[in-house]
Amino acid sequence: MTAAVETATAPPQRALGLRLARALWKTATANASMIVGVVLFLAVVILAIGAPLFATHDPLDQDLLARLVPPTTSHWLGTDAFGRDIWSRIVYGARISLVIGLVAVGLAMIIGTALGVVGGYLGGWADQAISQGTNILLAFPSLILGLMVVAFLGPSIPNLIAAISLATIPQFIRVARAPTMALRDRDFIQACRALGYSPARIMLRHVLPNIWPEIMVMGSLWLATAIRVEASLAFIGLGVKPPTATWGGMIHEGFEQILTSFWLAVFPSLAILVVVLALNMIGDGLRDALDPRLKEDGR
Amino acid sequence: MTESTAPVLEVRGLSTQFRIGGEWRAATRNIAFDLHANQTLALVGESGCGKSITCQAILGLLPPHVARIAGSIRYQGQELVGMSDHDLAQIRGKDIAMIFQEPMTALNPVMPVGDQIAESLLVHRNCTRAEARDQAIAFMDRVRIPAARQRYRDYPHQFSGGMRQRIVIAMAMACKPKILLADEPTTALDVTIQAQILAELRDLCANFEMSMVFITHSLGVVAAIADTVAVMYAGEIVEMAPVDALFANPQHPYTRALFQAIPRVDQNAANLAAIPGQVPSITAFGKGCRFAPRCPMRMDKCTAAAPRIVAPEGSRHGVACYLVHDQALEEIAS
Repeated sequence: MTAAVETATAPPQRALGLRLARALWKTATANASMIVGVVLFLAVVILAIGAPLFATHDPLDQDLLARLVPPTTSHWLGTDAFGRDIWSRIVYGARISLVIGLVAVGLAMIIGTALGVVGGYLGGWADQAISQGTNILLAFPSLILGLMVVAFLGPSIPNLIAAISLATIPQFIRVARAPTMALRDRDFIQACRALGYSPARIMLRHVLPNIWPEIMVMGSLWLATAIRVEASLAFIGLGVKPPTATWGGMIHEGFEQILTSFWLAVFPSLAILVVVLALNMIGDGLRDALDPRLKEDGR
Repeated sequence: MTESTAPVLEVRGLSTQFRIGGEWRAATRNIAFDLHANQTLALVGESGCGKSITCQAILGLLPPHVARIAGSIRYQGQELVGMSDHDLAQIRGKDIAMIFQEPMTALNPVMPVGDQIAESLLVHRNCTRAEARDQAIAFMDRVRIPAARQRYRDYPHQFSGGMRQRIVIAMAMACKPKILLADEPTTALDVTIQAQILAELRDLCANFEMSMVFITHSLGVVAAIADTVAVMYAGEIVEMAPVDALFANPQHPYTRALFQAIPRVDQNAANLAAIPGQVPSITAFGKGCRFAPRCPMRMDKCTAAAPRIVAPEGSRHGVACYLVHDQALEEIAS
């Protein structure tokens, strides 16, 4: 069985790798905004991974003698009401934002794509159940849905991931289901059935590699939304508990002093802006790069 | 041409119904034929006459919620109608394989062609990946794909239409099935490639002792490949005969009209013969002979009840037409 699973996954990944590599290369040479997006996002990822190296202070260290200090050479982006260094808190906050965003969207991508492909391929009552569930979830804006879950479960990193994931799953179901339904009637899928392949094999090995590009584009765009939702939840006080540094939480804390000490709220806002912008640039670039490539395949 | 053995595939009273607008409508009616070992049966007819449906019904590929099948399909004595999808999957690809009309779409665009051929070996034969790979390369060689080993990792869009059809054939042949259902495999190809693919299929049938059901709308292709021909019209077999007998003496008015419609080099191309009228829609089928509305020799009883396909004693040339039946009776009487 393990051998079968291995054979079922290895070649599509190779094919996918090739497609993405080519798509990325094509984009890199043609699409300047995507390069900017990738560079910005990678910069944030490197900051987050190497936070202890890049931070100038401990993000939780309070210095009551240096409260609300404007940007200086020792505190690059100033300090907050407790004298904590804003730059260091932004660097550490990137970890929280990225981890929650990546894990939540990763989970939503796996679960949503699986449900969408199964529903779209099998049709019938399974599809009905999945589609109706999707519609119910889609009826709520993702922030409201996240709010409900966090309010119910309490704010913690796993709960935030669960909440954002749940809000994002229907998007992936939709994006996976429609092309699967179109693929189901294509000759090569019929040929697979005529060769006696099991539905599971057809879905994993033949449907999935064909819809990956769409899923990837969706993933990059929803990663931006997930990070925004996390920040929004933190801003209204339902994020990771203080004193942990989160971007949304920092904006929340700095909001009251916005008129006297703008740096408290503005710099974390800029951090969110940069990440969301970078991810949208990547998503748009991916979409532009993958679309003509699909046509080239004669699809 | 040994006929003493039992047929590999025995189809009896096969009817297919489709649900259209909440009502079940009969698409094919009372299809019956035998396919013997090492023989090729051609199903001929115009578009929409039920050729492909018949093939899909044999493999149980019709979607169950909109299509239902009645009658009997026996593969080596084993009844396929009503068999579970799981059991059918053991037969599909391994014992009965199918190739499709359009080589451009019958291959997965994002999977290397070699892997697509090797996959059916992995599914149906207990072999390792390396063995499947070697066999797939051997099959690519067998269907004359140049530099098979180097092209194993190539994607379908890197091949021409004819080469793709060869790959599709290699996929279907990989498990050495007993029966190949070929659904217009040459229709989408240009004429020179068509001839090559036909030669290839004939060759493979002979070498692998395989029977074939070959769907086509071209009588020229029929003459090139078939042992037996079944002419279909609007979901029914109207005439069935060994290929020589049919070409020498087509009897059903529809078959004759088909032969008259073949364009000829020595005739004025501006006056192509056509059969007046259209194939009736599935919702407009009557009780009687389905060709009756277009038949120049229509009689009253033609619209009352459908004639059954009958062959004279000692002959394998069966016709479903009252006119032909009546003539035969008169000959016997006189």
